[in-house]
Amino acid sequence: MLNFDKIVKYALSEDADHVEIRFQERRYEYLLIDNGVLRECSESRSRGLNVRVVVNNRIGYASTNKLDWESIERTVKYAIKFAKALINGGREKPLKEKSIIKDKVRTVIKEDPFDIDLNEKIKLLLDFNKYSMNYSSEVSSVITRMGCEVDKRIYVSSDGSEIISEIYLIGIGHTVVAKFSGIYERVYHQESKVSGYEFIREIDWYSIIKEVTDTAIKAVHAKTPPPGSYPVVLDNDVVGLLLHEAFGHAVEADYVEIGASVLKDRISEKIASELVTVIDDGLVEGGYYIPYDDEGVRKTKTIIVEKGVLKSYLHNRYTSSIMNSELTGNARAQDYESIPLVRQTNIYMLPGDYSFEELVEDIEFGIYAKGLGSMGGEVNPSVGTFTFSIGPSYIIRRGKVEEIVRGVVISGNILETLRYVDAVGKDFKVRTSVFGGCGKNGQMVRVGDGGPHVRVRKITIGGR
Amino acid sequence: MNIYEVLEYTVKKARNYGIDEVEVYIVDSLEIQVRGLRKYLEDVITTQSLGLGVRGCIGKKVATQGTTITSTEDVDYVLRTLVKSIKSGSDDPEWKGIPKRLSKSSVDKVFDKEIDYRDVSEYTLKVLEIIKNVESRNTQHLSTDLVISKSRVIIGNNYGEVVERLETHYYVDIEVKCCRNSEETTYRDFTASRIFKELDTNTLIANVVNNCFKFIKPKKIETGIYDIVIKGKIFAKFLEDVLAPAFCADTVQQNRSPLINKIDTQVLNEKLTIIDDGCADGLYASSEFDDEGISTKRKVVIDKGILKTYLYDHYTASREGKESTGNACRRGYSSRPRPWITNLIVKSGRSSFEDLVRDVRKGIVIYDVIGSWLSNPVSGQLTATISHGLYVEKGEVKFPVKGLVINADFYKVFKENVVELSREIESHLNIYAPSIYITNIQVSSEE
Repeated sequence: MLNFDKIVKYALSEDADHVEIRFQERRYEYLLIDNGVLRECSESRSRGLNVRVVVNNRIGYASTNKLDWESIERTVKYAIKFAKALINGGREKPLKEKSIIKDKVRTVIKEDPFDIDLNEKIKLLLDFNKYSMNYSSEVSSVITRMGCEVDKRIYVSSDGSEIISEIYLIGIGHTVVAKFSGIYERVYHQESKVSGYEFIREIDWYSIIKEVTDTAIKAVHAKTPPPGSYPVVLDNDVVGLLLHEAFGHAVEADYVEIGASVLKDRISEKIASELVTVIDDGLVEGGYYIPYDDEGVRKTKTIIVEKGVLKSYLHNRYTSSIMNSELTGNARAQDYESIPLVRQTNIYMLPGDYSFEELVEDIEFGIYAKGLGSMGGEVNPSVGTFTFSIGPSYIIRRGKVEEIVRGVVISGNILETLRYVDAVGKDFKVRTSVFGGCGKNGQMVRVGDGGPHVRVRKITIGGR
Repeated sequence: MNIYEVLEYTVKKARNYGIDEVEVYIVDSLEIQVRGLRKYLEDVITTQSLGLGVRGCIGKKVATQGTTITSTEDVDYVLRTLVKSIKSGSDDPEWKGIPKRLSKSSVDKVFDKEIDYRDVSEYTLKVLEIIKNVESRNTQHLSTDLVISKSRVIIGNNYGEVVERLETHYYVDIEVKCCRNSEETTYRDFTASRIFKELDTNTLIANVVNNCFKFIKPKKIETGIYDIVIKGKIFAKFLEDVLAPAFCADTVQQNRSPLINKIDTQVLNEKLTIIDDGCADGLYASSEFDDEGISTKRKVVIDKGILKTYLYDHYTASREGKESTGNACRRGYSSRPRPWITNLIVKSGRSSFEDLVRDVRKGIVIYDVIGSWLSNPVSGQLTATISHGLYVEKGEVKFPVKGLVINADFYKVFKENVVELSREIESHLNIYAPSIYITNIQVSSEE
C-alpha cells in the first residue's frame, strides 16, 4: 500500500503550498463474440498516481505508474517544476475553498463480476449472438459484447481530505447488421448499470436482442427521411443525448470562462421553454455513480435550468473561484494520468405531464426520434451547433406513428432548440454505458443522461 | 526491471504456464502537454507510462491481456488472467498462430533525436509565442494545446524474435475568437509533425486567424441540392470515418463492409487514387513495423477508383492464405491487433483550390464539420453537420453558413459526382488529401 502521507509531506517539503494525490486502480474485462466466435477475451488493469501541487497559485501536474519511491519522488519534483514554470507567463489559478472530507464509498453489489466464471459469461454471450444469427437470413453479422469495470480511486490532499471510492459498472452490447439487396444497415444497443453481476441476471436480454434484430431487419428495407425541419418527438435516450450535446457542454464553466460557449453571461436569462428544467446529478438512479469529483468535492444535484431560466454553470474549484459561484463537484479526470476537467455527470430533464399519445396527436407530419441504434453526438459550444445520429425512427403522420426510416441525423442550435420544446412527457429514464462515455480534450469519462419523452416544435433532420 | 527484462521474464513465465505461443508488446511512453488559455500558460502536464500487452494461445484458443507494469507481480497477474481467459474460450477455427518472423522496414524522420524532455521551457515558450502571435492579429486567443510524446515499443515472442522502435510525435491545436461589428465567431485547427522543428505553427496561426474572420455573421440557406467543395482536411476526415473501416479485412471477413467482393471493381471515381503507406519518411503514422512486429509497406488501395486490396494484419491475412500488409494496429497495449490504416494518401489533382471554388455555380465550401464520426461505414452513409462553411454563387463567396446537415451515400457521391481534386494536399494527422469538388449533394437546413 502506498504511503500517501509520506508523498504529501515530501511535496510540502519541496515548496508546494498545497498537494493532492489521486491514486487509481482500474480493472476492465471485455468479452466480444463476433459471428459466433469468441474474438476477444481480455482484461486490462492499470494502476498509477497523479500529483497536483499548487505553488504561488500556479498548478503543476505529473503522473506515473512506476510506484517505487524513486519514481514517485521524481513525479513530485516534475509537478513542482511545472508549477514553477508557470510563474513566468502562467496565470494565477486560485482554487475555491472546499470542505475537508473523509469518506469511503463503494457500489453495493451482490455478485462481483470478476468472480463469475468466464465460461458462464462466454456461454451467455454466445447464446445471445446465435439467437440473432439464426433469426433471419437477412442478418449478415452479429457482435455481442460484455464489459465490466471496477474503478477504485483514492483522493488525498494536504488539507486533510481522504476519499476512497470503488465503483462497479457492467453491461452488454449487441450489434446486428442486416443485408438486403446489396444494402447493409446496422443497429447497435447496449444496457449498462452501476451494479454487480446481478444486473446481468435481472434483465430480459432476449427481448432486447429481439428488438435490436427486428429493428435492423426493418431498417435495411427502410428509406431515409425527407430532409428539412419538422416537429419531432424525442424518446428518453434522444432527450438525454440532446441535453448532453446541445446543452450540457455549453454550461461547462471552463468553456464559458474562456469565452468558448454561447451561454457565456446568460445566467438568469430565459434560454429555454418554461417547460424545461435540467439537472446534473451524480447520484440519479440509472446513471453513473459520482458521489465525489476528482478534486475531492461532493457532487451536488445542480439545477442548470429551472423553468427555462439558466441558473448555474458546472464548475471545478478554479472556475467556481474566479466566477464567484458555488462548487458543483464537476471536476472529473478520465484516469490517474489525466487532469480533472469540468465535465457533466448525469444530465437529465425533469418530467412533465403529457402521455405519449398526447405528444404525437397534434403532429401533422413529423418524426418520432428513437435512441435505439443511436451512435452519439457532437457539439461545437462556441459556434452553438450540435448534431447527433439517432437510431431507426418513425414518421408521424396526422397524429399516428407510421413507417420506419433509417439514417436519421438531427442538428440544431443550442440557443434555439430548447426554446422550441412545447410538451414534456410524464415518463422518465436515465441510462449510462460501460462501453463509452463523453469525450473532451482527449479524455473519456463515464456519464449518464436521459429524461422523459419530449416534443420539439422544429428541429433539422438530415435526410436525402 | 528494464524493458528487455520484462520481455524475457514474460516469455519465460508464459512457457511455465503452458502457453503454446506468446507475443509480448511493451510500450514505454512519456507525454508532455502544455496548455495555454486566453493570454496565459494554463498547465504543464507530464505522463510516464509503462504498459504490457500479452497475446497467447493454447491450440486454437487465443486471448489478449494487458496491464501497466510496476513490478514482476504485474506480469504474473497478467499471465494468470491470460491462461484463465484462454482456457475459458472456445476454439477459433481460423486461428493460425502469431507471426513467427518479425521484420522492419527502413523509415526516416520518425524520431527526434534532438529533443530534451527534461527541459520544458522550450515548449512553454512555444505556447507563449503562439498566444502573443494570435493576440497581435486583432484576434482573441482562446486555447492552445501542445502535445509532445515519445515512445519506445518492443515486440517479442517465444520464437526469440524481437523488434524495437522509437517514435516522437508533436501536435498543436489552436482555437481563436474574432469579432467584427459586435458579431463574433471562433475557429480552431491543428497541425502535427514527427520532428519538433518541423511543427509549422506560423502557418497554422495564419490559417486559423484568416479563416476565423471568414465565418462572422453566418446566414441561413434553404434545404436543397448544392455543389460542395470540401477542404482537404475535411475530406480526409470523411475517408477515415466511412471508407477506411470498410477496406480493413476484418470488417470484410465479418460481413460488415459494403466493399465485400469488390476487389478489382470500380468503387469510387476514376479521379481517386488512394495509397496506404506505413513506411513513408516523416509522416504521422510512419513506423518501421506494425503492432505485430511486421514491416510496414506501401500499397495502392484504390487505383483510379478501382479497389485493389484490403488491409490485413497477420490473422486476417492468414485466413485468406496471404501475407500481412503490415497494418496491424492496437488501440492500446491491452487490445488485440486489428487491421487499420497507416498513412492514407490521396493523390492530388491539377486545379488550385481557388479554381475549384471559382467553378461552383451554387454551392458551399466546407471548412469544418462536426459529427462526421457518426457516419455509418457499414451502410456507407456519410453524415456531417457543417460548422464552418461559405456559400458560393457563380464562383464568388457570398456569406458564411453553419448548422447545415449533409447526409449522403458515400459510394454513390464519390463515384458519380466528383468533378475535380485540388493540387494542394492537407493533412488530418495520418490522412493526406486534396480538396475535392462534388456536385449535387442534398443539404438540410432549418429553412
